[in-house]
This record gives sequence, structure tokens and C-alpha cells, in this order.
Amino acid sequence: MSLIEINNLKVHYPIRSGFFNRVTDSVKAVDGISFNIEKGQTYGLVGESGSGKSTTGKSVVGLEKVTSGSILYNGVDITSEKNRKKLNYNRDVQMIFQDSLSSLNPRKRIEDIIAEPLRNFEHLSKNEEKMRVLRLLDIVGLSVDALYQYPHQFSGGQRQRIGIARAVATNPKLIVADEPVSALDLSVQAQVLNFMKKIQREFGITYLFISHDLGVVRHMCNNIAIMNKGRLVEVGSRDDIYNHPLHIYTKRLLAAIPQIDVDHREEHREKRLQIEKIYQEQSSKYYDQNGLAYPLVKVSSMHSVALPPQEAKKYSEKEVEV
Amino acid sequence: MWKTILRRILIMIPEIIILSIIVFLLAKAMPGDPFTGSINPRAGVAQIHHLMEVNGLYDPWYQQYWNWVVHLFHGNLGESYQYNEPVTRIIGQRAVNTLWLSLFTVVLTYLIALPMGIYAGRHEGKLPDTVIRFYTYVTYCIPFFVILVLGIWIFGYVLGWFPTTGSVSPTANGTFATIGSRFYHMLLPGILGALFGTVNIVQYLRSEVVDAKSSDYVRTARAKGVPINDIYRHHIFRNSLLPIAAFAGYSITGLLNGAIFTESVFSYPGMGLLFVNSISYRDYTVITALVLLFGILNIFGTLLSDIILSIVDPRIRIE
Repeated sequence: MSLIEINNLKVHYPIRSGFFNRVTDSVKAVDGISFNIEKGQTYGLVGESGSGKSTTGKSVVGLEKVTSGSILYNGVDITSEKNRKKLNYNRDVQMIFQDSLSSLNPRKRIEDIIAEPLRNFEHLSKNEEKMRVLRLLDIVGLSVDALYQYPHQFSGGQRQRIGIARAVATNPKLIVADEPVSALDLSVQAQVLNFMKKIQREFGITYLFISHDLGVVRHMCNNIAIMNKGRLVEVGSRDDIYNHPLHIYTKRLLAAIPQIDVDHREEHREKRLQIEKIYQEQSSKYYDQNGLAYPLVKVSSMHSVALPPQEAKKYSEKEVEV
Repeated sequence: MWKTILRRILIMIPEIIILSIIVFLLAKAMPGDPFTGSINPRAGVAQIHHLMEVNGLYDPWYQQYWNWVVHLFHGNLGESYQYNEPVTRIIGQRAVNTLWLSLFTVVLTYLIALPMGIYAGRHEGKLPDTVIRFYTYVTYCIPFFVILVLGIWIFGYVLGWFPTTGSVSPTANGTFATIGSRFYHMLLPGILGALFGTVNIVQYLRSEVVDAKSSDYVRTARAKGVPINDIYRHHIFRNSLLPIAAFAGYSITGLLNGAIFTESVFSYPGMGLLFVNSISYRDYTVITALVLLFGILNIFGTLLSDIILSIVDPRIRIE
């Protein structure tokens, strides 16, 4: 059974207007997505800003009020707060945020920040708690002095590692990492990412890795989902997405990765322009009349793409033949 | 921490010196003199001149200032022209009254305002928030002395629940009766001052809570799995208290300003009433002493605010 099963998840924000502040419309941040998360894997959720990937991540952690659909954790729907409480859900599912400074309470010491999840779920003595915090600091490579310091006294990379120490404090099974390295420079990015991989090996953690940086996602994730306008457009393994993209949006996204290969600069440019041209010509074909992606269609055991109905038929027929 | 406080105290010394010069010169710049009103009709202009000269009021200002400062350091603020008593004794008696009334008012204000601010912020946009905001705006719009006069009329005269003048009943005998009577006299001005002085605290606290509610570290706390009530207690409340803490020091001086209204309307023998009387009698020695006292309290109020801030917010401390 999957660790997390997301079924037709929808998160809509109401728009209120008029004299009586009535709900007149809604922003469809996430509009019906489904996917499964298996234990021990790393999943990448990629998309442009505003595509709803952060909202999906927050819903998985339980920070977002879900409009409809369900998120099953070991078979229990955790979209209701009652179930989350009963399961001690947030002991098993934690989150890492992009902005390491603002997401740490500026008036709390590192000791309190890291110990707080422990205090919520485990009743440790002062001494045990301190030992746990020290061990966590040791895992993320910070010195003992850090205990009594405040978040603003650290560098960005150190702060992000504090955020990770806080997230792994309760030995979670799943960590949702919402753009954990986007605010860091490249050398620190590598440091934090390798570190995340290390703790994954040690503790068998599952990651849901939200990013718009395709290079980082390629480095981190075995499975990748591409989001656009609140819907999934393509889901597949790393190889499927990077080497055999089928959806026009994925192709365009991949073409946007800057190449450091200067010798073939012109070729890359031409390729990009070509894809852009195809996108301009065919984008109406890949999206329905409301400009939204079609439902996903399985093209192989791992790979699903949001194809228009006529093309989808081809694949489903083929599947029958096989 | 201690370095920060020491530095702040050292800065206060020149502040107080400049303040004392300004206070002294302003008091001297007032038209009129302390004797005209108090001598009998048969005394001539010459007699006033004589009194002025004896009291050194014709000396150049720096000489007068110097005399005043020298006396100040001997604990001697001069004698009141109006009461013919040492100024220190006159102020001392009344300062205690004002202090108790101010303390009572400030404690009551915070007791009312803090829960209201947090509640309004937590339920932003809902009915309780609207009601609380409406209440604070209404109290803010009505001038304070109007409230005092209305209050004294309704609760003092019409209903007769509270005494309307003085700080203690002359018939009270024994320690407990006296304390009880003092408290009874403070109730109405204290409650009115508290009920109508909440607007700043409530509004600041409310907007801080609303800000903090959507901040990233609160999101982090929720992701950690902290129960919502604990989030309010440990994360939002402490962070939202910052501007309120900054406010606390200043609110001391604000209360002294309020005391001028309250004590005048209630004939409450405190520093505010003394101040108003001294101005109308041109009682220079009392006026300068009081303004200096208010000024010094103001400076100490800011010091207190800075100290509270550096305790509440670790980022403000100077290493």
C-alpha cells in the first residue's frame, strides 16, 4: 500500500466581493490531482509559480483546508483535523520551508525551535530532550553553541539545516520540502541537498520535493510530477520526464533549462525557439476550452500524461492490444 | 544587555540637563507674576517690586537657573508661593495619590485590552472582531473629559454608586477603612480611564496578531504539529506583544497627562490637579518642579521601554 494516496484533491480559495462580501468566484489553486507516494522514494513536484505545487504540499501536511478529495495516509483520510489529531499525523509528516529566516520564530532559541516538535509528541525529561537536540544538531553538523543562539545569528545554509533538524526531530516518515534550497546559493544548495540525501539513507525518509529548479529535481528525485494551472500534466520516472517528455508543457519547461555547453549555443537556441513555436501552435490542442490540462492517461506502467482525448484513445487502444 | 542599559542611562544625563533648562526658561516666559493675586488691595506696585526683588525674580535667567540647580541638588525645590510650604512636601503628598490611581488604571487597562486585542485578532473579520473594533473606535472618538463628566453625573449623582470628589472619605477611621475608602474613590476614575483608554493597545495587538497569524514561523509551528492554542500562547502572543511592550514605558507618562483631566473633574488631590492650580496661580516653583518631574518620568519611561524591548526581542540587544 502506498504511504500517501491523493485522490482528486481540490483546493479552491473563495473570492469575496460586493457589499455583502458574498463568495462570487474561486481561485482554483489545486484542481483535481491524484497521485501516490511510496515509502522511501523521493517525489518531485515541479511547476511554474502559481501552479499549485506549494498548495498541494501544504495540503499533504495538513496546513491547507481541502475543498474536496481525499488524502489517505496508511488508509486513513487525513483531510479532517480529527483524524490528524488521532494519528499524531504531524509526528510522521513534517515540512521544510523555502525561507529559512522567516519560517523560524525570531524570538526563540535554537534549542526551543528544535525541541518543540518533541515537546508536542513525546514526553521527555529535560535531560533526554537536551540529548536528543544535541544529537540532531550533530547530525546536521552544527556545534553545541548553537543551542542558545537565535535564528538571525546563522547563515542561510546553517538556518536551513536547523530547519531540517527540526523536521527530522520526531523521526518522520515523510518530509514535504517546499523549495528547500531555492533561497540558497549553489554551493550551499549542494551541501543541503546531499545532506538531505544522507538523512534519507539513514532514516528511510520519504520526500515530497517541491521545486521549480529542474536541475535540483533531477539530482534528488526518482519520480517526478509536473504541475500546471492546478492540474498534473505529466507524471513519470526521472528517465520518462527528462528523456521522453510527451506533454508540450513539459517539453517547454525542459527547454528552458540553461545549458553550460557554450560551443553549441546556437543549436540550443534554435531548439528552444522550435519548441516555443510548437508550443504556440499546439498549446490549444493540449488544453481544453478553459485552458486547463486534460485528465492523465497512462502511456506506460510508470508514465502518465495529460493528453487530449483523441490522442489518449490511441494509447488506451494500444494498451488493450498489449 | 547591561552594556545596553548603561549606555542608555549615560545618554539620559545630557537629556535631563537640556530638559531642565527648557523647563526653567518656559516657566519664566509665562506672563504675570506670583504676587499680584495674593496681596491686599492697599499694597502698591512698589511692594510687588520689593517681593520680586527679595525672591530674586529680577536676576538674569542664568543666575536664577544656577540658584535653582544648586538648590535642586540639596533636595530643595524652593517654597510654593501659593501654599507657603516646601514644594517637595506638596508634591510628595499628591504624588502618592496619582501613583496609585495611575497604577490602578494601567493594570485595569491592560487586563481589559490584552484579551480583547488577541481575541479580535484571532477572529479577524468575524462578529466579535467587528464589535470590539466598533467599541474601540467609539471610545477613541469621544473626548475623555466628556466621558468623565458623564460618568460622574450618571454613576456619582444619579445612581450614587461612587463618591464624586476627593481621594479618601474624611470619616474613614483605621487602616483598613482608609485603604478601602481610598480604593473606593479610585474605582470610578480608574474604570472610566481603563474602559476608554484601550484603543491603542487593542488596535496594535489586533493588527500584530493578524500579521503574526499568517507569518512563516506560525506556518512552521503548525507543520511541526503544535496545537493551535499553544501556537497562540507561545508563538503569536509573544511576538505580538512587542509593540505593546514598547508602549508600556510611554504609557506611564500618558497616564500623567490623563491625570490632569481625571483629577480636575474628580477634584482628586493628585499631581494633575496640583499642576492645573499652580499654572493659574503662577506658582513658578511648583510648575517647574512638576514639569521637570514629568519630563524625567518621560525619559525614564523610554528607558523602561527600551529595556523591556531588549528583553522581549533578542535582536535589539547591542553586543
